[in-house]
Amino acid sequence: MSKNIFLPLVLIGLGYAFWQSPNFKEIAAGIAIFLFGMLSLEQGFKSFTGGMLDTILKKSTDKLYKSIGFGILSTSIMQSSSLVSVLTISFLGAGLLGLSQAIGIVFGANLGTTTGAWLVAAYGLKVDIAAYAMPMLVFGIILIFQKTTALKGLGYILTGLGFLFLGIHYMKDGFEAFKATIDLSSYSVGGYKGLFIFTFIGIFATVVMQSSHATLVLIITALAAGQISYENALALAIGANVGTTITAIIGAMSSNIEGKRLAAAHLIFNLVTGFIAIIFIYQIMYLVDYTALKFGIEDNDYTLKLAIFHTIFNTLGVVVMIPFINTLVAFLEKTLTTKPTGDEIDFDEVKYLNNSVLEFPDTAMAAIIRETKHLYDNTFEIICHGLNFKRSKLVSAMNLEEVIKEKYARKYIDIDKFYQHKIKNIYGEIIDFSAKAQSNMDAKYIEELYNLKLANRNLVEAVKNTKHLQKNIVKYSSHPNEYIKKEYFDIRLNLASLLRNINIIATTDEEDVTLLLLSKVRLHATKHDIVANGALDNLIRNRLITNEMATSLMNDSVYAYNISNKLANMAEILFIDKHSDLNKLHDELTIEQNDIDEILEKKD
Amino acid sequence: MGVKRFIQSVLESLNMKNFEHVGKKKSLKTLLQKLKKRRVQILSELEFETNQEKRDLIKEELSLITFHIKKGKEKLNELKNS
Repeated sequence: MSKNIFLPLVLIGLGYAFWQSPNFKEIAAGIAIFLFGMLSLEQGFKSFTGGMLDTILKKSTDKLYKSIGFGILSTSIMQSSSLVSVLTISFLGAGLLGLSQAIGIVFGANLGTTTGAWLVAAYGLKVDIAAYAMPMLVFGIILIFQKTTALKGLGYILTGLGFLFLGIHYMKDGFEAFKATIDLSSYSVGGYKGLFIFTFIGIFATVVMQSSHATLVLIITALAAGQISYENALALAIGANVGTTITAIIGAMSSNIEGKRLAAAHLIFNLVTGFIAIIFIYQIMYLVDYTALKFGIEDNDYTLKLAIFHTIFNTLGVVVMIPFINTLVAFLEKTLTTKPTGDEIDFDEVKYLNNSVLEFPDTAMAAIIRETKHLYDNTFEIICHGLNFKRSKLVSAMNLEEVIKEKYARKYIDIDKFYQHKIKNIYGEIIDFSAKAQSNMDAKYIEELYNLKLANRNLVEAVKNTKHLQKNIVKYSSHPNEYIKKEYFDIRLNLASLLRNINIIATTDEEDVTLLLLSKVRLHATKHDIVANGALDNLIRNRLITNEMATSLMNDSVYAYNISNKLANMAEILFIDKHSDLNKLHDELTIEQNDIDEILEKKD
Repeated sequence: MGVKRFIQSVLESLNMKNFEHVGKKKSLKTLLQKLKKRRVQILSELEFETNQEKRDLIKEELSLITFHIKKGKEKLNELKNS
């Protein structure tokens, strides 16, 4: 109800204010144009960078100083710490970054945002920037209509800058004209009381505009027009720094737990920085005066002094927080965790898929690969436990016959329940995410994406086949007929060998080992097919098993064969690195069914 | 000049037109080397293994690796002649 009333009330209120004060209308229009410019600039950087951004990101964030440097540089170029924070949350969610690296970028982004203050204070107010805005808008719009993505991106950037400049111009004019009618500076409040009041105003303004950059420009233009006092402007700047975290918090809402941790880290960092700035405000102001004197900045040039203040207090925040990054990470990992469901088996959720990376094909693809590997892990666990093996023993060097004798549990697990809890939802999310990602991908990605979807389907089908197989394994593993018991023991043994080989393929870096084991898995699938190798005929002919047992054995042999092939197909897609030599040659060297038959014939 | 034509002319002027082909040959040679090394390793394992069941499994691995080496050599010759 309140939401429905809020928007019309705001619009009516603004309309009334515009009617009452044309100058206020000009300032508000300036803010609106400025924000529109930021949207355009963000759009430009997104389409301009494409997959390049994530490549750069991967290479330039492996050390803390690099992460901070990356944050400073990217925010200085893009002029939006919010965009950098939201992108960092996306990359973190996709598993391309660790939490401490991401925190480093956010720290850097806070420092990078100070360049905006410098640009506006030193350049935006002294030059008629509206004169630059017009040609930028014209060139930008022409480029937006071009087909090439890079030109289109450049068009959005130029248009964005044009609107930013125009917005600043309107804000500046509005405040200048305002001065003649109302003196806002008469509302200034001194001392710590004023500091707190204006800090909260700064927070509120930034939360509403969702851009500390816009708030900062507004503060600088108002300060230049003498509409706010220098001390109150400093408090507003501190508030803007705290308020800007709202964008990251909103961005993290759709992200996974890692994204939420980063948004919390951002909030903690900006709160601590703001707190330090408020406590030591007079010392920092002294430092600002001292720095301004050293750089030859006039004592009454408050806009430049505000830029110095912004830089000093953000730098101070980073310096104070750097030693505590690991403590902060540990604290966030301990306090922000996924909620337990209270169910016997926890519902597993996607770890790496995040809608905000959909626009970046390379990152989206990396997220899908990681999530598929997550699904593989769950599949591996379900098949192991479904066949009553201990996973830890299976992946060790322990003799396989001993592995299958050592049971995972007294009772076989309910595969269907595990499927519902650990497979179905993740599989659905991967398929849904892939469909969305596909619309932003070029042809070169489509084939890879199609193969990944196949790998996912293979995993799901392997679990379903295990479910069918489990019924008779339970029935015949303790059957008095030694022959049928032996056949089911062998099925389990062969599947244990398959799982061990697949696990080696998943973890090895040796290409020859991968190639050899993939062929071995395919060879074993045929070799152990009880219908093809004549073992079933032998059992029936000699009346060693009943007809009912023979039917079960025949069906289950097909299920076991399917599990082997599905997992081998999945491993070929998921575990052969796309940059490896083997990937280039796999089609030529892969083993075909006739090659397998030939090898088996020779053996006989 | 379009981007594709520009790349084409750069590749031609740097004599790199066949680079994909050359890359494949290099990758194949590297992989063949690794497979041959592995084959020697498997042969020595076979020499010292006395358990018949394990010997059968090693022989199976040997036939698979021999198959891949043979197939790899055939492909390499094909690439050399093309």
